[in-house]
Amino acid sequence: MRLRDIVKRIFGGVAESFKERSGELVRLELRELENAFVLLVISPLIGLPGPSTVTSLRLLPLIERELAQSLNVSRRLDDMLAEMLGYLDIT
Amino acid sequence: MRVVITVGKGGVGKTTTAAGLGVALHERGYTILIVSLDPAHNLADVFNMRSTYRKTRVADRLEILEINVDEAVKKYLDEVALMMKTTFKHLSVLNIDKYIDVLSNAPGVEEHAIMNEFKRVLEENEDKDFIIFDMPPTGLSLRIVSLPFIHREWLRQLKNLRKAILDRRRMLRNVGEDIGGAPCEETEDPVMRELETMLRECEFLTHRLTSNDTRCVLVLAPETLPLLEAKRAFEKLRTLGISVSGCVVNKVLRLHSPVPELRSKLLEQEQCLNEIKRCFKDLVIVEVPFLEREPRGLDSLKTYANYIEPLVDSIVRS
Ligand SMILES: Nc1ncnc2c1ncn2[C@@H]1O[C@H](COP(=O)(O)OP(=O)(O)OP(=O)(O)O)[C@@H](O)[C@H]1O
Ligand SMILES: [Mg+2]
Repeated sequence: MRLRDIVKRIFGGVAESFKERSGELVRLELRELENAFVLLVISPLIGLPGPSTVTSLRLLPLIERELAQSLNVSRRLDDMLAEMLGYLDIT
Repeated sequence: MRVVITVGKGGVGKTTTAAGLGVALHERGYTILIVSLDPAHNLADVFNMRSTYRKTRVADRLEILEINVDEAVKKYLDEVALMMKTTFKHLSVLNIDKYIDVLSNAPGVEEHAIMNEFKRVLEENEDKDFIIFDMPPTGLSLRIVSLPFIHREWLRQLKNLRKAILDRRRMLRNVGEDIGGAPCEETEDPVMRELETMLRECEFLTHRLTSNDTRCVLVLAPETLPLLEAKRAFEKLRTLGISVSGCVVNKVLRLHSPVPELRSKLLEQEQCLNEIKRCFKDLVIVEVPFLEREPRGLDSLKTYANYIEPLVDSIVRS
């Protein structure tokens, strides 16, 4: 193997793995943002201060995807810490 | 179309002032609608007319309207019920009306319903030169007018959050990750579009309330508590960016021969009048004496209107 190929491989690999790692972080961040969004939208319906009931009801049918995912996460909330540490590679 | 809103403590004379302003502006040739948004309304009484909850003609170019707040609350809740039924289809099998009954006592519902009526009146009466709103006592009034501003803040926050979400989705999509077909662009995200629609609706009200065509008039009696309330209202309105053009000091006791029993009362009045001049020095301040008879009916209201002439001038000029 020529040196150029080796260098290419190492750096290519680093870039690839960097991309993966940051991809994971962005994904984690996205999910947290989506959870926060869901919580804000449903807050007036569950008795927390928030935008008006009508605002909630108008947005609710449009956030089905995020809502389902948030409910899923809250069901295994105790796993969250482990999952986050895993993402951040602190194991 | 210009808007005037009377604000003040219970019983100080908001309704009478709204009526007096309406009569004064009408006399100057403007087309006027006076609207009561007070659940405990007595606007029709002030004109010696029957309460009908419909626009009633007092004279050519002068109409009054009392809003049925209970009815407005019901209408608002019906709208909520309908949305609930369409959103949660299974609810139509359950007894949703019970839930709605509970909601009617929830905090904030009355304010929302009144704000909806405010908006409706504005939209349906573009042809008037002035719409004068007679408001409920200070606390409720301030909650009502704050509502669109609070709402706007929420919507802005939600919009920012949504933007951040779409950003992350785009990042993931651009590195070829699977995001399960979730929308990434603002224009194709139904949530973003709905947020923008709601923001526009809300901004119709905040723009209207903060525009130069909308003026509040503080009404107070020369007594300590009404003055404290007027000061608080003034502060709040200023924070919201709503202009206050003047201040009516109503029921000022002017006696020809001093009555010993009223000495300390008159002293309090003098102190309050001084304090009012100090606190509201940038506003037009007018005084209305305590009248021998309740100012009711068109003729008495014209007398009342004479006392507030400088305020009317400033409203017309602004
Ligand atoms: N200058 C005045 N002299 C004598 N009576 C007055 C004067 N101004 C108002 N009144 C009387 O005081 C009472 C209260 O006035 P008004 O209904 O206008 O107050 P309000 O602030 O609208 O009250 P509410 O908070 O109950 O709506 C009425 O009976 C009215 O006729
Ligand atoms: Mg009144």
